[in-house]
Amino acid sequence: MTGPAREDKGFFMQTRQTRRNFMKRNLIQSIIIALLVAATGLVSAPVTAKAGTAPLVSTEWLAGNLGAPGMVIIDVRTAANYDFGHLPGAVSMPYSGWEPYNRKTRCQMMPSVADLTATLRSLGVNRSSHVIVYDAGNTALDATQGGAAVWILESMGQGNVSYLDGGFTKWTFEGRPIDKIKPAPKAGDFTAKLDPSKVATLKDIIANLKTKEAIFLDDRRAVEHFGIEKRPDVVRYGHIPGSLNFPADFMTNAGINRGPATIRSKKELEAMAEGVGLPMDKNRKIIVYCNSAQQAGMGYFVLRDIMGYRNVQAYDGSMLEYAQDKKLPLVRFAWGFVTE
Amino acid sequence: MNTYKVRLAALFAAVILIAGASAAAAAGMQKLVSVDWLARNLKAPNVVVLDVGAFTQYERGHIPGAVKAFGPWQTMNGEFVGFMMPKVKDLVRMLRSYGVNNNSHVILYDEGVTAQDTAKSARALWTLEALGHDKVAILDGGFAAWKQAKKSVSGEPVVPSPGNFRGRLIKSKLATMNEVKKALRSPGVVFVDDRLPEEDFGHEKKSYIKRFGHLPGSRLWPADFMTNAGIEFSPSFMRDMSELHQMAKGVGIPADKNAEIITYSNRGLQAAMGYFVLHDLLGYKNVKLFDGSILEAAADRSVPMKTNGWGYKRKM
Amino acid sequence: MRGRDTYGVDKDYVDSVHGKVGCINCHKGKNVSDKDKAHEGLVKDPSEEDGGGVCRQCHSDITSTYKNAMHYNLTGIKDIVGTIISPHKMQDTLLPAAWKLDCANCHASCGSCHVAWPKVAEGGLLNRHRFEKNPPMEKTCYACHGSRFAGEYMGLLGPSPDVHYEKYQMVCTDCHKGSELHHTMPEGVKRYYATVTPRCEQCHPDAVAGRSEVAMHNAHKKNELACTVCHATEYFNCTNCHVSLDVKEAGNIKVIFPSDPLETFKIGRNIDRSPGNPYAYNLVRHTPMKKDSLASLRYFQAVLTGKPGPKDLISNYDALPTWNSASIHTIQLKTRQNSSCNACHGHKDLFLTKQDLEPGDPKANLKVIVNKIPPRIRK
Repeated sequence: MTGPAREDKGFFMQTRQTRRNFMKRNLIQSIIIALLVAATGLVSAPVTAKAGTAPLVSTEWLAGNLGAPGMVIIDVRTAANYDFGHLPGAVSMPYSGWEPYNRKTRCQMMPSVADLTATLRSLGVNRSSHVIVYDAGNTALDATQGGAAVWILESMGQGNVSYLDGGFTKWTFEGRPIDKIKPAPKAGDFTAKLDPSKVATLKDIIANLKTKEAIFLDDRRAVEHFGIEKRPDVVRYGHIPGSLNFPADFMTNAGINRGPATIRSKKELEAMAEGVGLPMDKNRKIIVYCNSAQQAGMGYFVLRDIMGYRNVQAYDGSMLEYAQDKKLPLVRFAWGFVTE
Repeated sequence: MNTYKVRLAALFAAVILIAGASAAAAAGMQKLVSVDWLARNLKAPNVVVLDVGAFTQYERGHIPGAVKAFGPWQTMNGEFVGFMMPKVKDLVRMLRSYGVNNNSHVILYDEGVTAQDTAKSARALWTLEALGHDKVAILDGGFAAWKQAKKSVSGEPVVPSPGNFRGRLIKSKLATMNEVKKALRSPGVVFVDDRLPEEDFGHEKKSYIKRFGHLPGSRLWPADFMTNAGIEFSPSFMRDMSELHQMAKGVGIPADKNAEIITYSNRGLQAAMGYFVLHDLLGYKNVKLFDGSILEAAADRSVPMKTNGWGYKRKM
Repeated sequence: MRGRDTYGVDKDYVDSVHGKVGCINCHKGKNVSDKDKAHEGLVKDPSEEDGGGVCRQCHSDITSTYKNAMHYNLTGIKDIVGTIISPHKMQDTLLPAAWKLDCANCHASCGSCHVAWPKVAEGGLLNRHRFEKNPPMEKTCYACHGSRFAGEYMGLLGPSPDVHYEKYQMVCTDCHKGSELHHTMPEGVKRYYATVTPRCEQCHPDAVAGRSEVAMHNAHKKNELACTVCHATEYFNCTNCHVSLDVKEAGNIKVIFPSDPLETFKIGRNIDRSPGNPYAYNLVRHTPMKKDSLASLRYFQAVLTGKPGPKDLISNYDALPTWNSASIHTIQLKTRQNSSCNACHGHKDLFLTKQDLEPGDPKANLKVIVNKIPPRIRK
């Protein structure tokens, strides 16, 4: 909290009058801040689309706010699934369009600023829109698609975005309405602008191998992190030296013993962050990666938007890019966190 | 800087390879036999081949001369805890019915398709070693490797003449629940979780297990990681010694071969793989199998279990 | 997992009785060298139609009963659905389509057990097209009866396997003969109360009360207790693996997401005694259904057909219980509850009682609960 230059004199040097004024202003400021903090505490149950963007919205909330002015609902499932039935008013942008294959780099990278601008404008996204993203919500993999879409939107300047917790599965399980109507929105005025503080490049990775300033976080499954399995188009096995492993699969409730892919509670996420070795200091720099940035995008969303880590980048090229250069180090047959 | 590190790593790996190879020559070779070795030694004196795979497979084809040895190698004990080591007298009776003598060289094999299959042979091997019988080995790659090598297969059931096997329990091979409770309080004992990473982390659990998570401080070395099963359709061959050495280091097993190690899993099957690799292949002298494993530990609320984290994590 | 034959045909099959019939006589198609012309009219599963397809020509004794058998068209299960939605008819809802897509996947033609893997296990030949009179249970029975039977039997789902598997290496068909699998389900009989099932007494005649050497057997009346009441261990229920909707009030639907599967042991009354299941008390499994379990079908019906389905689809909810007679395949000689008389007597938790029921459960459950627990035995 910044105050006027007078503060530099020291509290006790001030005259009684100035001290009273100072305290009064500080009091007002602290009340405002307290209110803001309290408001963020209520972030999980926002009242309207405009009153501060909640990173996560519930199906119950959305059901009561369908068609709110300025709202754009984006369905990232396949076109076939969308055609069969989707949330009322939702527009379709299948995930394959969010991380298209880039022939030059032989990886999946986010679209160019120009392409994303054009696509989102055609879906009716405005600068002022509140975008709600949803995926199939059935498996952990489904959730990574929605989560990564949120990361891409935030990285491209659309900060007013929320993720529908539980996606299409939870929505239909609860008997909520779906339809087949394809909206024809008016072209929006959104303009994409890349924010490098949210997206790491290969240069950033190589630099960090030397400086070790950021913590590398591998969001793939443990079998891939350890180097037993790999995606067929990833050239080599293993993880970036020093990485911690926090599988994106663990971040949702999907799996054998659980239900649709709702994001796990903040309390559980904090416990897991500690359990994988992440620091509790939310200012520590973290670079998340996976194979194509899909799981890492979700990792970004969970770490930054839900858990409050302030300094998170997802590495767009991820392993598809990194493993191609045989000179870059990879560790195989070891957990990243073992100290010996 | 990278190439220097790479060269150093290569030198290190070479040293381990040599050390591993000699360890293999000393201990590993005897405990893991190849298809070719078995094919040459099927009729060798005192060789007894036991098929510990699913009994329906035996009827359809087995290694010539192999005895159907389905078990039970694990059974419910007097306290109604399942999958425990059967009573010594029951095991002795069973092994005699399989034709096992005191001087038998017992070769165990399973279906050989998945690491879980190999774990069955590992459990039978541990049982024999825990009864004091060390002349036992596993057929590398199991029946899948035998068939892949186009060796002959028989459908004739084998009825062996009864053996004279005598055995007694070697207590140092088996960790009881009470011993585990004590060991959890002593810093020197290394616990190894041989289950899947999701189970160790506490994200998933088998439905018959009462609680999520792992025993505090465990290393994680999934039994599935120890074989080549499924990689380009390979049968379940054990990984190379150099890879196993590398993994032992990478999961945090201490270099000291006298370290006290207790392996565990859900029901003691994958734990036997951990035992087999650590003791019989890598030469760790002091390895115990926690018989009740998580099935027993999770049901006992006084046993601490940790979830939402890896057992052995680095402090940032 | 590799190891699945797809379409290889072994030479010795061609020389076998069935092989000599010739491919075209069963699979149709034409005997010409042009591939597309040869495949015209090809029938993938010639045994599918009307209880046996081409198999009827030689095996009519079996196919004549099989066409109304539970394995063929799920008679015995359709009855259950038909009963609880009465007076609605299945044709007025999306149920026939859902039935075809999901339920009927476990439908088995002759070929799906005797030649190939069942459809629900994605097909493929069992053994190079050889006809197996007694196919391996892992490749047939387990494919559909996976978790609750195969899993229980092998000990993957409870504290121990079944002793018949563990010690005696018996397979499904050692008890469940072809005559049982191929027989016609009588009209109106529900799946849990099948009329032809193996009974323990068939192999264990000396276990029958009054004739037994075991005092505990004689202490109970004949046909009072199913054998599994004393000889089975804890087992699974459907609850909590499958999502259920909890209708709090109109418009307020609470979704109950899966958590850990519910492992229980509950003795209940047998409400539909039959020759195959004559006992007064048997073990029951929770087969849950809420009145609103099929609510989403209404919305899907609206979207797909333009007309929403009936509002109160499960209108006859009270007719059938949600705790049903269960054949538990975790048999052991010694169990916790048979270790002494008082290990069972007086133990309320072993019995299904009013406390186990939930508000909103069907009224039929009241017929299943045990009202008077057998009291502790005092010497």
